[in-house]
Amino acid sequence: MDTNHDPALASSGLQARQQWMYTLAHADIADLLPFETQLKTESYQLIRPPEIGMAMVRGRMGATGEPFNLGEMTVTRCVVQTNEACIGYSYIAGRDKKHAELAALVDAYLQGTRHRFWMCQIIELLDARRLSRQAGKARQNASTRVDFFTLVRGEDDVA
Amino acid sequence: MLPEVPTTKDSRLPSAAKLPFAGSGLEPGFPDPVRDAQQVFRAALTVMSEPGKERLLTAGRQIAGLHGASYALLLALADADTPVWISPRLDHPALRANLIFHCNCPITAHRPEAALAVLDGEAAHDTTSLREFSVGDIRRPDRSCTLIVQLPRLTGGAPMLWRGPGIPLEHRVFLPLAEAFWQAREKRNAFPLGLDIFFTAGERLMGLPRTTHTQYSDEYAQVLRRILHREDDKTAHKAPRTERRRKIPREDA
Repeated sequence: MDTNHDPALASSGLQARQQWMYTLAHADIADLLPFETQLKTESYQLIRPPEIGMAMVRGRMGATGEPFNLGEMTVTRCVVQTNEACIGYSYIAGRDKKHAELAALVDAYLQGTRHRFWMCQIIELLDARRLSRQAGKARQNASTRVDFFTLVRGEDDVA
Repeated sequence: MLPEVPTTKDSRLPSAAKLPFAGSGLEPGFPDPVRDAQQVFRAALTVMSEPGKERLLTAGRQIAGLHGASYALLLALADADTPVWISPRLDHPALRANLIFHCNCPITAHRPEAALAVLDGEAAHDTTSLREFSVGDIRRPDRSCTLIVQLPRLTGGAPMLWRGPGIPLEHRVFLPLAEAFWQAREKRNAFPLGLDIFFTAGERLMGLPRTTHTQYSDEYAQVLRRILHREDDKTAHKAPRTERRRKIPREDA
């Protein structure tokens, strides 16, 4: 998991926010949609309406080499402002504008006074779903796992 | 393994004030980003190619002390490559936050490096300030700074005559600006170098490129003359319109 362990970040609440934004970005839109009416009961303002763009993904060979451009991916981003003047951001891989908008809304509400409520309502559920999805995938992969055995040929030991 | 999410420990809850960007006064940009930006850009081109002509920019909202037209221009023109200078009277944290958010433009306090400068009426009359904005260099005259001068209104000043490319004969404008501004502009204009200027007031926009020649008209004197000598005026009134207008430059010269 992509967690930042900088103590300064942790104390500022940034790490917690990174965590829930991660959860929202990785959520399945089908898990977010049931909350749509609940999220939109109060009026909110679209500071940056959901928009689709491209982002260049860069990588390093073996994580240490020179950076190279791996390729472009589509990213959808959105910024909303709630009645509490909380500003929610979202950056979502892919082209799902609804996902971006809902994720930004959740991010905004999580910064507001009802933080606990939204945390229990949405983030915990999304986390559980994601982890079970990951576990299911891991199980599926594990069932098809093949171990390759190579007999020791002794070449490495020869000086 | 469950991720560490602060669900139960209240001490770890982030407060809204601590989080970045919270309460920074961000507001939506253009209602329809693509179309509005194109229309504002078109209007900017129009007023620059026909100096003295007014256009309405309704897409921008007022941010702090900045009028709608000025803000709409900035939203359409500013980007990461255009350092923006903002005069102290218009500078406001909310304006900075919005410009950085929507345009991603650097905001500079250093006048010579500004590509766009937003001035209020007072800053426009600061001749030492006007001297510092870039007029481009002879290889790249396009690298000059474009001024956005925000005024309370675009009328009510002394009558001026504008002549030059884009103006059929001459254009009369009544911008509420003092002579110091026009002299400072004259000093900075050495074609092809010079300053291009947008004038804004509320939602109104007017352009003044470096190629336009401006001078005070003696219209006030003419008006007075007309009132005093109505007999003379009657004949002047009957004269063809173009001829009467042509008289003005001769009298000025």
